[in-house]
Amino acid sequence: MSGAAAAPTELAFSRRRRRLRFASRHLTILVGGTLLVLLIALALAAPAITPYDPIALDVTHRLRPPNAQHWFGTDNYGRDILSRTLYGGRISLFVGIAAALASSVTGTAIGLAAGVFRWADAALMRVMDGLMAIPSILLAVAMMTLVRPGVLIVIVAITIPEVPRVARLVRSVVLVIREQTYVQAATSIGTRLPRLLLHHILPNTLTPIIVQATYVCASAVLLEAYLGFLGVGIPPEIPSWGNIISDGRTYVQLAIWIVLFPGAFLGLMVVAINMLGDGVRDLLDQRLASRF
Amino acid sequence: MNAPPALEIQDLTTCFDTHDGVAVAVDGMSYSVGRQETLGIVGESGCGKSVTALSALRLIPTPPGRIAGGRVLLEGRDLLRLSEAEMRQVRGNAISMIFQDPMTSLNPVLTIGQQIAEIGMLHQGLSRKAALDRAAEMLRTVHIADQRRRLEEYPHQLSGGMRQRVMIAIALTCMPKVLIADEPTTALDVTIQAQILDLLNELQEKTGTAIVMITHDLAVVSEMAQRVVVMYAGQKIEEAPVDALFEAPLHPYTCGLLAASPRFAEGRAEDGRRVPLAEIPGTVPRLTAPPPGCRFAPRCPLAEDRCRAERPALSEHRPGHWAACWHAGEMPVAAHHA
Amino acid sequence: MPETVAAAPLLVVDRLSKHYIVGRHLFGGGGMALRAVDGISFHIGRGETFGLVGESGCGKSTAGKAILRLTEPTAGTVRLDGVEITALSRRPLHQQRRNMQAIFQDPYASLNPKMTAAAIVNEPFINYRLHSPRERAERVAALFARVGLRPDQMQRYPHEFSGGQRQRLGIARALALEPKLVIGDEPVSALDLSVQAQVINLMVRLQEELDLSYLFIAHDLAVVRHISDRIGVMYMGRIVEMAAAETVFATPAHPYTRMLLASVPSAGARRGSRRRPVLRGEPPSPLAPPAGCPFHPRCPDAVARCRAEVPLLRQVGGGHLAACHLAGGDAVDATSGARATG
Repeated sequence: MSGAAAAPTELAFSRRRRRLRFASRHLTILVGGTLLVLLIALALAAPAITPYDPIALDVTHRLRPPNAQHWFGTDNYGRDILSRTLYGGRISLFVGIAAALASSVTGTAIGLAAGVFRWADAALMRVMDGLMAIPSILLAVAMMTLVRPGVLIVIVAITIPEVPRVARLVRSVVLVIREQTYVQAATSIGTRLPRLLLHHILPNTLTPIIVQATYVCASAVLLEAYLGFLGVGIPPEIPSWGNIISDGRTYVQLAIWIVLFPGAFLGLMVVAINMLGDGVRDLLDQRLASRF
Repeated sequence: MNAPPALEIQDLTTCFDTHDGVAVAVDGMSYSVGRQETLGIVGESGCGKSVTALSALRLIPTPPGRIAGGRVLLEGRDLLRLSEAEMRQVRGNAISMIFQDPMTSLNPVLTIGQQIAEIGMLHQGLSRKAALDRAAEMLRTVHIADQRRRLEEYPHQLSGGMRQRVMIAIALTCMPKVLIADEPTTALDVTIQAQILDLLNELQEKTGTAIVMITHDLAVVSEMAQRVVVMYAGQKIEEAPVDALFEAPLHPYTCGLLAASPRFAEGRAEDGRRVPLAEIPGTVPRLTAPPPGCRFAPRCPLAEDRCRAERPALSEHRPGHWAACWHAGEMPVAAHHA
Repeated sequence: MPETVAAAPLLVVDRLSKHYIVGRHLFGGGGMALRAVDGISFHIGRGETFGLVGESGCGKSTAGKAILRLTEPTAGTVRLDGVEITALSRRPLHQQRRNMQAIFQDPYASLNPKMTAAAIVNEPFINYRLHSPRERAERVAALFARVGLRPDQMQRYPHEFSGGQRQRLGIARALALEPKLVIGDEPVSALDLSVQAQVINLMVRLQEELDLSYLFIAHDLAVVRHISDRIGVMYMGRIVEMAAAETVFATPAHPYTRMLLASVPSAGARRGSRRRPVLRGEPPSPLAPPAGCPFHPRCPDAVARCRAEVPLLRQVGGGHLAACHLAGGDAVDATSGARATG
């Protein structure tokens, strides 16, 4: 009988410590995810929970600091900052997610084409390089001044500068996958290009695309705020974080709360999305690593 | 020959803490190797042969691994009791290791000269110039021509065989008492492998280094080793002088390995038809939940209740030939051509 | 033993070459030719196993890929059952792929990690629009049984299988289209010894049951000897010796083959003198092959003629070919084994 069996086979870690280890390893996902879920819930519930109409004026209570009636205070028109912030969150989320989706789909299509069709590679990538050379804000501002403002246009203006990032990533992943044995094996059993793309190459590029999409989302949220701040974003009658901060910019010394709360929410949203992205990437990397 | 062994591992046990429980990768391993002797450690992947060597050199990442018991005696000193600083003095100096993949064992951003000289500077206190001179001398010892030029080159400029020679040069710079070679030729072509094995033998004759040759390749062991240890699922199940192991193996697993190897198996019957290679049914047990009793029992054609309940102790069935089996020597075995 | 001479061979490879151009300038000038495969010729009969053996870089894997047209040959022809594979355009090639299938070396990389085992084996049917869905399911189940996998494993993903099981899955996939020829590119090199035996036995059994021909590409001489009827030894992109398996091992005619066999570790080498003949040096760079015989820089028997003139494959015995000036023999047409003219 192996006498050493008793001691080593006991778990070195108690159950509680194992739970702690699990939590610490997945900290980014847990924190980021929870925060994001919270913000999304607040934004979605805005019509139900906001005490005031976000665009209602109330000049008798202008520039009030945070108090019992107005938790976040009021702006120079007497509008409730809390209500405006929560409604602004809806816009930011919508724009962020829509831009992330649009740029992911477009970027993936371009990246796939560039990675699979050698003749298209050079042309497509040079166009992408050209787009990347233009600062995204500049590009967005230019677009906005040419077209009548609206939410849809803002989404397009934010999507375009983000496409090259996704396209380059997808292209590099596709180049690796293309050389994998299972792609060659698929060719040997008669798989033709459309199926090869759809069933073999694309599913194996999804992981990095998803991770990148979260970063694009954070970037889009910020970009929307910049555009609003510069006055070329969402039309001023719709409350968005950028607009609110822009409006409050002249009152920074008098009534800092106008800028503070939307700014804080903006920061939290971006941090939450980035943390989620980091966590998802680490999780998927781990699983990949342990598989091989 | 009763000189004390160069390296003696006694009852070594190494565990890994995983999600699925504790995996006992090495369970009470003992072996020893003497001066100018080559000991072969044979087994398939996952049997613990590499982990044993890494444990001896204290290279197991802790966590999740830990050495749960045993002693590793290098010239009488128990390596497991040394501090990390003392251990660093020993590694590369009194005991060295060469690894399987020469592509990843060398640092790609340092020149060959820098990597060999590092050892001399570290352990022998040589100046940079003296260390580089020693490096050139080592390259000559491992039969690399044009030494001065090679010292300036980077690993990627060398072929696999040359990189492995460089690894051997690094390992032998300080004339260690023991060299552990972990699958040193598995990644190499057979003709290059022959060169490397010859080189190891030549260097052993010159320096008297003890070599522990870890491999899954029975042919390599048949050529290089004087004694062989066979491992299965973290345990030693047979140990014998090399000729005895190949001609009259005792443990059913060893018999199975030999019969499954095209090199040593029957090959063709008289009528020219291929004789199927013997298959060992089933798979290796999971180290987190090994079967009670003999670990090979689930796959063994000779297994009985006693085997499943009681782990067989290692006993000396013939002089110098040990096996851990209740039915040692009962497998019908064809003559093996080694 | 199969009839290799009387019946027409299943696969005929004639002066197959694959060259890569490396170091080409931006607009097409310059560049050096890397002759990965340099004019090899051989044939495989029905139900026969041809072992293509050689060390890394000799071009055996590239040859396999070129025959399957997974990479396009630079020159030469490949005929499968009379059809010239190398001349086919895309659509007819697609149809012919059904007759030649492949098993790959790396059991971890040759299966799409995102597809279930059943989906992997079913895919060939989808590609060729064969059988009704119900029949497909039946055939997949039958293939699983044939290669020794259990039905409950059909919905598992590749990472849930062991290396040997994945290789069986690859074999099942290769058999789906009922090919005549299966090309195994190092199919057992990445497997443990006991698992290797299982897969080798399976391949032998399948060959008997389904009358398959194998092109078995490997570097392990013992395995190749066990499974092959005939063997071709490759060096630097060329076949330097070709004969029945036992002949190659018993009476090797080419110095490289002799060296290869002598290099295999053995107890005999230990017991005898430690200084048995060992091949000196390293293989030359494929970008700068030596003039004359590619083996002459490392050959212990090289003479002046070897440095100047490339030796052709010559008949040195019944069905035994070797490309060496010192082995003698008559020039031969390697595709059929018949005497060549001139």
